[in-house]
Amino acid sequence: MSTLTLTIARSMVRDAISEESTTILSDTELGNILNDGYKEVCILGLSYEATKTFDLVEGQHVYVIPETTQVSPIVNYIEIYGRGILEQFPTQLGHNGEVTSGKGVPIGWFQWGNLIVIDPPPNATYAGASYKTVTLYCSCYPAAICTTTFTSLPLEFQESVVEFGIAFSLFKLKRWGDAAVAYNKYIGNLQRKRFEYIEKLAEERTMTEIQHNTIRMMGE
Amino acid sequence: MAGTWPNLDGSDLLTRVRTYLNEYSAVYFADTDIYQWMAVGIKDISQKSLCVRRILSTQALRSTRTVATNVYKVYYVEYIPSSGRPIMLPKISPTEIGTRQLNGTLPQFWYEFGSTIGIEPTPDAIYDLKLYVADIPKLTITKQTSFSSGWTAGATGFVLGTSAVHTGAVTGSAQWDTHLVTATNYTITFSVTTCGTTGAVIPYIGITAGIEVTGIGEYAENILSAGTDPHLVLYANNTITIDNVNIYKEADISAAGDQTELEPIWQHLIVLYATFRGLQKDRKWGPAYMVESIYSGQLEYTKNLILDPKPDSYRNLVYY
Repeated sequence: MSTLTLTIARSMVRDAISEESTTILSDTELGNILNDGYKEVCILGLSYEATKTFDLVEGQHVYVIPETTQVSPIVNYIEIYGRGILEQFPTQLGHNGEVTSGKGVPIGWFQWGNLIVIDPPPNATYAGASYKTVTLYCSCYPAAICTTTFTSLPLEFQESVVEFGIAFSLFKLKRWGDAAVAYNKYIGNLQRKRFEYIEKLAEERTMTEIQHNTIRMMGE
Repeated sequence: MAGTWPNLDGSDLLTRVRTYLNEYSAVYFADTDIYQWMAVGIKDISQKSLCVRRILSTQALRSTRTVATNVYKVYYVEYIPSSGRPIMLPKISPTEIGTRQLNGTLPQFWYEFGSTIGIEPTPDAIYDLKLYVADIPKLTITKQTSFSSGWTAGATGFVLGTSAVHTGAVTGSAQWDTHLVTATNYTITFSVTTCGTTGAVIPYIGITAGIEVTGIGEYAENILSAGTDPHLVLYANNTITIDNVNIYKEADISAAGDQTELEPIWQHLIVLYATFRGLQKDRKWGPAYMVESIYSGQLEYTKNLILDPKPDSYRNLVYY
């Protein structure tokens, strides 16, 4: 499918639920449902990946995640001037890493609501011009409501918005059993796509070597 | 949609519930019923997912072991020393009071009991704490990104523009002109972006004071508004700059313009919960519990995916 448009998505949903008339299910209602799905696929699929940045301040360890829509994205990874920082349990705060006068080289982070906590608080060097930029690798809400095109959504997740639309438009038609089946299909496919496209697993060193053992299929 | 994207306000949520219940205007399902179901749903979502996460500023007082809380759950307690590194205190059970080996008189452990937390050892002075909590869900009243309108500065000290900048030793005030509601729990969040060595700010609602803040950073405080003249007022001394004040009120969603503070990912679940209750009223218990099972399953799935911590380890950095 080429880039999904709202018009195409509505058409696909109407075909699936066999409801071409706008008398019972209006385009406005269907548009609302599809935009709700747009948001949900971006977050539950972690599919709209974007980076955000802010600057460290000497001695400050709690920062608001910068976000123009004033809702907080999901932070997956953090990089401080070219170095990945480990996500830690909140209980680790203050117990690891070396500090001088309560400040040091940031070695850990965690998210709490719309806040990022950096541990330990950065010293003058890491709050200085050469090091202070923090890059957040986030899964975000769509930048704007869809009126024509689902621009924030990667191509591989577009079908999930249509599946969401099918499942929840069936509520209006009181086809509860069909809605349950469609919902299970939606959430299962979304999870599968998230595993396939979003989960960032590093390859081990052995993947570059000739394997000691492989599983041979019968007939090979 | 009426809410500010990607949020859904009261009217947006009501519209979606009516879509799912297939009743365009109030005939069988009154608006008041739907708002009530949504209010209960917001609490149910917040209580089961513990999704309203804040870092609240508070203080342990001298000779008082316990600190009162008004939240669903305290997860962690951070001690903020006057100088040095903030540290998360290990959690103990009340059984362990007086049995742990202590190192000095500073706060070293904490426990939770009822609507309080306890500090071990009993504080011998006032100590600044931050509580990492799952809070009671509130309505968003305002998110102020500028002080240039809607605020009034006192006679001295504050200059109000995009930021509220205070200078001088004389205490100055900056008041948000809109009345709040009396005897109501509010959460106030704000940023301190610059602070001199003696700079300080205390938020008040009427005569009820919050916690004094004396350093740069992000702050959140729960304050019970006073019985008279409930205005939000920031009182400051010396050099300090405040930005981005947000105000949240503990109240049920009940009108078209009400905006829940729950993040958008939870807002569709509010619609599902209200739909479930509507179907119950309509005596369609099979479909009602089908919807409820979608609601419950997705609530748990979302909590596990985006709220539960997934810390890294050394293995994430080493090339094996």
